[in-house]
Amino acid sequence: MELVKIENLLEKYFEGNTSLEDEKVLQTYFAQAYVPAHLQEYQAMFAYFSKNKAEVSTQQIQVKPVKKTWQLGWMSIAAAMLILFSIAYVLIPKEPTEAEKREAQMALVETQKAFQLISQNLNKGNNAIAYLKDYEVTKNKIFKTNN
Amino acid sequence: MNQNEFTALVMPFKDKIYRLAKRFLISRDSAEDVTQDIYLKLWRNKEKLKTYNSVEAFAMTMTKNHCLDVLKAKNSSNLKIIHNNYKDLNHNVERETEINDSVNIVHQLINELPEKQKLIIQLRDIEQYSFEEIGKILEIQPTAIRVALSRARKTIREKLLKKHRYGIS
Repeated sequence: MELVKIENLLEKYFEGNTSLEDEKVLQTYFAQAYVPAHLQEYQAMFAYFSKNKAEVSTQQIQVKPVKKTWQLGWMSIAAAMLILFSIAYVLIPKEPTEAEKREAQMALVETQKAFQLISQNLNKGNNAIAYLKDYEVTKNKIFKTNN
Repeated sequence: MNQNEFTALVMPFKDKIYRLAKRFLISRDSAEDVTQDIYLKLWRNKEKLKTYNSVEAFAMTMTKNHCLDVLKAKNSSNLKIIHNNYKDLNHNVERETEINDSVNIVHQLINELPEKQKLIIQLRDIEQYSFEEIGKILEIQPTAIRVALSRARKTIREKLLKKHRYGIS
C-alpha cells in the first residue's frame, strides 16, 4: 500500500471519518515490522489495540446456580421439618401401653397394702395410748396437786 | 431456552464483556467477577433475551452499568484506600517500563481519557463496533460518538508525540 494512501487514511482516522474497513487496513499496515520513522507513534497505538483485542477471559462461566439455590431451598425445608419432628417427639406425651397400665395398677395395690399396714400398727399404738389415762388417774390419787 | 441455545447465543461475546469490564475496573480479577455476574443475570433473564434486537448490545450495556455500580460501591466504602494503593502500585510499575514500552504509554494515555472517550475507544478501536452499535450500548446519540472518538484519538496522538519528542531530546 502506498504511503500517501496510508497518510490520507490516518488523517481521516483522526477525524473519526474512517469506516471499519479502513481501520482494518490501517491495522494491517501497522502490524508489519517496518514502518517509516514519522509514523512510528501510530504503530504503538495500533499495536496496543491489537494486543488488547487478543486478551481473553480465562475463567469458565457457570450458568446453573439457579438450580443450586433451588436444591438448597429443599434441603433447608427438609432440615426444618426434621428439627420440628424431633422436638415434637420429645415434648408430646405418648399413650401408655397395656404393660405400663398393669404395672401402675400393681404399684397402686402395693402402696395401698403398705398404707394399710401402717394404719393397723398405728391403731395398735392407739390402744397402748389408752393406758396412759390410767397413769394419769393413779398419779392424781398419789400426788395432791395444787389446783 | 435450554443451556445449549443459551451458550450459543451469549458465549461469542464473553471476551468483549471481559475486556470492557477490565477497561473500567483495571484489575483482572474484578473483570472476571463482573463477567461471571453478567452471565448470571443473562441466564436469569434467558426467556426475555430473544425479544432483544441485539443481545450483544444489551449485554454490553449491562456490563457498562454493572461496572459503574461496582465503582460507585467501591468509592463509597472504605475499599477506596485499598483501591488507591493498588492503583499507585500499578502506576509505578507502568512508569518504570514506559520508557522502553510505547505500547504501555498508549495504555496509560487511554486510561487518562474522560470516561466516555475511553469507552468509545474501547468499543471502536478494540472491539470494532459500528457507531450505531456503540450508540446503543452507551445509550448516547450516534452523532455524538464521531466527535468524541475523534477527540479521543487526537488526544492520544498529541500526548504520544509529546512524550516521544521528550524522550528523544
